[in-house]
Amino acid sequence: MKRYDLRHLKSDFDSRMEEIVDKEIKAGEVIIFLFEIGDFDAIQRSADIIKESGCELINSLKFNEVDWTIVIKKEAK
Amino acid sequence: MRKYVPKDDVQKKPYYTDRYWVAPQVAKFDVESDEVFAADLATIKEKCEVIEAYIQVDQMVVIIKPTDNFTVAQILKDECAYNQLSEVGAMDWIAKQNQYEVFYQFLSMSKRKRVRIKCFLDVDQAVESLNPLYRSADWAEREMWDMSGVKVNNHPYMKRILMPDDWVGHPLLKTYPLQGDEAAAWYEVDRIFGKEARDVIGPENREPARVDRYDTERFGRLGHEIERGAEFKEDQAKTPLAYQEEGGVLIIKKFHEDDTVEITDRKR
Amino acid sequence: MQQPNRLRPFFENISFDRKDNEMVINFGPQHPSAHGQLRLVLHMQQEQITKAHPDVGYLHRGMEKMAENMIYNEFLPTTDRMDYIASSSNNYGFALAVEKLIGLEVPRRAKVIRMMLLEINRLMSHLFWLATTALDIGAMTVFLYAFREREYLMDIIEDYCGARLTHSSIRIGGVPLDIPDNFIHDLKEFLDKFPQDLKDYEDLLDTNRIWKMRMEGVGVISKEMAESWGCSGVMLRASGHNWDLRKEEPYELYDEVEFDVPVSTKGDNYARYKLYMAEMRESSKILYQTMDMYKKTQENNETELMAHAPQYISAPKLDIMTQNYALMQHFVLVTQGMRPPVGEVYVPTESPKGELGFFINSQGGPYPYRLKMRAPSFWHTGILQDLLPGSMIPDVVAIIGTTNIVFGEVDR
Repeated sequence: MKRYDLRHLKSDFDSRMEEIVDKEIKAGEVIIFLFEIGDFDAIQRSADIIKESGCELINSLKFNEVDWTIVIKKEAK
Repeated sequence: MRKYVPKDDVQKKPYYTDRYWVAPQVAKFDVESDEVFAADLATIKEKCEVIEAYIQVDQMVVIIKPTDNFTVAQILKDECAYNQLSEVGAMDWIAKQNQYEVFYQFLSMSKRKRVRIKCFLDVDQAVESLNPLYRSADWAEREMWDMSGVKVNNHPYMKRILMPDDWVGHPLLKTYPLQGDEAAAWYEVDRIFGKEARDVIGPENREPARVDRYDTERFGRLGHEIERGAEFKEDQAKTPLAYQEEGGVLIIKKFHEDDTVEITDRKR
Repeated sequence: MQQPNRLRPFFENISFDRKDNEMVINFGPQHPSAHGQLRLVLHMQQEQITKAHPDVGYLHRGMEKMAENMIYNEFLPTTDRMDYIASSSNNYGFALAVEKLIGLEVPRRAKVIRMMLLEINRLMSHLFWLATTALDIGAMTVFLYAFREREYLMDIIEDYCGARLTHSSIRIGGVPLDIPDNFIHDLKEFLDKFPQDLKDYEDLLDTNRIWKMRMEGVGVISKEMAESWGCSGVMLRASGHNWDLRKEEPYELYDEVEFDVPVSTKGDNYARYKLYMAEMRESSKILYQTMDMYKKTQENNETELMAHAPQYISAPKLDIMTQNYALMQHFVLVTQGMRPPVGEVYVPTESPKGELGFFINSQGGPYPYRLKMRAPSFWHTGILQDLLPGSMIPDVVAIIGTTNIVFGEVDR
């Protein structure tokens, strides 16, 4: 159960997120991503990344005006 | 009708308690359910009157009168083979029933059993010291007196143990504030300089991180040093951080502040 | 003692008066081998001590008072500062007491991790004891060696809980984190070379003439004196009592682990030294077995780390992030604190110093009504009062060393 904070990357967090999802987490593990909303397309982009990498999006929350939190679970292959 | 809360109890209170919430009770079992405890209780009951006895979290708790705590301890030590007094402590029920509750925790190594003897005593009542039976009671009762104010009779060296000898008040009472009362705040100043020096020295700075930049009595400003107590001026001449005296040391080359090199990469 | 007043102020370091060449000296609070803030007032005839009066309280922070104003989870990091040499065992003692009060069953994997932490702590504490006692008596090399060993263990603990000394690595209801991947590897690496190092220290010290002269026959504690003074742990086992809480009143999984309890009947410093060395070997034996138990829990994947008790323990992070009620309940538990049932409990555990007991009386509120900590070092300092008369000054240093007293625990 790790939490990855991508807010410092502002809106170009896609590559880092893909890298984390593919390499740094084990199968069946649950992680939390935190990134800046920017102009609201970041949320759709993150959902797409998660979908193509085959992980299950468990929760997607807007805790405050600026940040967006998604909780994903990697498929236990 | 609002719930009665004792006014002088200055400990922290729960933020909110549901009006009709009743706290569950930790399970109390009958003493007969464990034969070793039952036997011990029987031997105690012969000599002294037992107010209440139950087993809680696999230890027997026996509530007795405060006057015969010595006899019960004697029975436990001689007849029931409880050879160690692990702990003595007191609880403050002054707000509820103007009483202390003193508990003695006994351990029997041969029977692998633990018994807690408890007694309720009035605030001015005293308890008999168990020092002749168990030497560990010596320090335990001194700490009980020091922390809670429970008086103990014929104790060999009845003095405070944790607090200074002339401390006023007993810290573990519910009426004693956590940050200490007025006598506690001014203890050092009164003791060393006397009461009249209080306003000269001023209150203790309890906030460790508080720095007052205009107070040149207690704080120096690195790089902008001025004499202690001098008037603080905004545009201060920058005084370089010199690691040696003005004239420098005889053999050692004078090391100037600008020569320092800050190493950033740790692997060097 | 003096009667202080304005004319004759009471300062601690003014020289004491001498009558019929009986000298009173302060084995002062700031003394290199006082293992913390112990002021030992020694009445002496030349080199021999006639009366010893340990004066403690210099490190008193009012922990029991703080406990009455803090919720249970908030108080846990304070227990680190009690016996700061082995802080996980204090956390564990407090956590076990609260769990017994609530009547909580901790999942098996958390128990295994807890036992690993406890035994690593025991090793760290014994290594620290060996270092400081050897230094007090003069063996510098053993001091450096033992601290080097302890560094390895500190790195392992730091991998787990991020802190070297104040671990707060155990929560009420389980263990916060799973052990990192390199934990078992590093621990195994350390344990493989540890017996060799122990042998080195014993070669250095066991048959050393100075060590034997300073330790043998010094500070002899008889069986009755140890019993009556409420000694526990190695102080008790050195005087002939076969009493180790892990064996007699097994908690956690100590009944599934084979280890034996070293006991001696001599009761002097040398016996305590041998017991500490033997206990270090036992602890490493236990650690080997816990590693296997951890692998077993991995196979039949019992991977829960915290107990499941909604009104006392907040839900795992996954549920909190996904379910609404778990988040609300977690919020209440963190802000207002859990409210254990009304009742009392005294739970003793075997800390490296001795029997560490937590007495908790709760009246149903989020704050304990009374929390009394039974610290073993408190009575091991008290016994100096009866133990020191008759011995010489250098023996005082040796005896204080082997009593393994830590003043965070004595003064609480």
